[in-house]
Amino acid sequence: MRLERLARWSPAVALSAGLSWTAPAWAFCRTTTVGVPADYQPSDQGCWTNGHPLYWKNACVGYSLQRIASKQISYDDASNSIAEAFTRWTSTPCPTDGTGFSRVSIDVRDLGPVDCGLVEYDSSGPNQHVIVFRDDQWPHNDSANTLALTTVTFNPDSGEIYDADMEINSADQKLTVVANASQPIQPSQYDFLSIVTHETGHFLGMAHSADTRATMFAHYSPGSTAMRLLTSDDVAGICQIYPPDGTRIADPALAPPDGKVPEDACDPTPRHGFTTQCSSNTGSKSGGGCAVVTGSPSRGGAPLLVGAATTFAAIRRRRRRARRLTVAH
Amino acid sequence: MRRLAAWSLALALCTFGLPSTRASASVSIAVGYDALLRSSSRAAIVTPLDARSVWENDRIYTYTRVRVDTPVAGAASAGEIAWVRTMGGIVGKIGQVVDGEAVLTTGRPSLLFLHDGPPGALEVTARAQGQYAIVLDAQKVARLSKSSAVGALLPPPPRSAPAGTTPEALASDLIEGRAIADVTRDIAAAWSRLHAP
Repeated sequence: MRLERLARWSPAVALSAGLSWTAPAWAFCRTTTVGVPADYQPSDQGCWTNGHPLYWKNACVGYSLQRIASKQISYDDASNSIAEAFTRWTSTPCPTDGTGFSRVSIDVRDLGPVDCGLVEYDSSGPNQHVIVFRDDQWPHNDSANTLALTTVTFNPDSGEIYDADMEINSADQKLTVVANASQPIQPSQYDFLSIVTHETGHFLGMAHSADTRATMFAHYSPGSTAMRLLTSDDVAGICQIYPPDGTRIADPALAPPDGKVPEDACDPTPRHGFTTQCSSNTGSKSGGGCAVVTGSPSRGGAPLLVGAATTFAAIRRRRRRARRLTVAH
Repeated sequence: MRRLAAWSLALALCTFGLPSTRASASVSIAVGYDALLRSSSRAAIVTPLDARSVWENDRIYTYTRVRVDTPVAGAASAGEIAWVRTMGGIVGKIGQVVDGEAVLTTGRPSLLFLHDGPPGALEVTARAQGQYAIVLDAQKVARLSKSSAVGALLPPPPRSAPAGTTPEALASDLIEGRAIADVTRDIAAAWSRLHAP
């Protein structure tokens, strides 16, 4: 079915390709609502396209850096780097149909510092798209190996992004900010601007690219600043998600205009309003808040099945509770 | 008309090229082989049976029930059922994607390096770096392949290797593309060394 839809669209693609013989082979992909199976072979099968590609529907998106920033990087330095990273994506000129170049149809704005450092989404109360350093302890699995983590909350039926939060592991990793790209970075350190330029690409819905020069390529080296600069592949990707005409291609498999939705008017306020406080402090909580799993531990080689059965019961209890707590959109 | 569509599709693909990417997202440091094994309490080839996603501590987590097909090392035995927790999932009308997490897909076996997570559940060590998919090569030999969900990987900084010593081999360098039988044998041998009492 998907192939048929692609075939319907392909004459137009082939035509434009034929007219523009210098068109390069883009390697970018978009994040979708369905996780990529571990055994998916992109080298053979191309981009993972199951589900809906993720996108911000609004023409403007806000973000906030946690006020306390990091012992490694001051609020001002971090704020400047993050703003620069977003600007690289949002100031991108895109090719248009004979009218020259025009900027991508999304703007990202700093809404100022927030107190909340939690990654959370409140489906009935105000939110913040927080960027937070984890100076004291990385709260997730794999602290030794994770540099940054972006959590994107979305509508699974449309791919519209509701919320995005970025965590930076400053507890276990050495980050550095330098004034300009010509200034060297120690081989043992990671360039903060390179990391946030890559992560802000994910924030906007980009997945990884096979283009080894791209900012969204999945590998780079400590001491390098190469990821700061977008390549033509990165540009092609962001222009596909946020074309200058102000539409969003929600389903690339459909022939335009079927797969397109119009953007919403510029309003960088997060969904259901903006707050500098965590939802637990504002008294508004509906997206989550379930207790930690209880059940028989499986530690020390104890039979896993016992723990599994208990966990299953706990999960079922919590699911019932989550259903009561979660407000559908 | 169908032939025209097929030709134009072929032309389009030839002109643009087939993209080759990993559609996932994160920035991680490549995990060392010894570190991966040392941080795990068990390694096994498992098949996900089903999964449930829940809100927990303001996040969505997915609990996947897996069956141990082949225990490789540590506290795992064939036929065991376990729950594996990963970040992200879909609850009702809200979904969450967390870059670099292992993706356990029902019915698709993979090699997992696991450690104890919250009570009653396990977590994948080093997130998606602790998951290797099983793929068949042209000769139908089952080989291990780095998970498509791994995301951006950086080499470890030089400080990871003390002066005068050989840097630790990366897990992917010793596992990626190799036959399952060879890898599981090596893991079992290394496990004894790294988990010696």
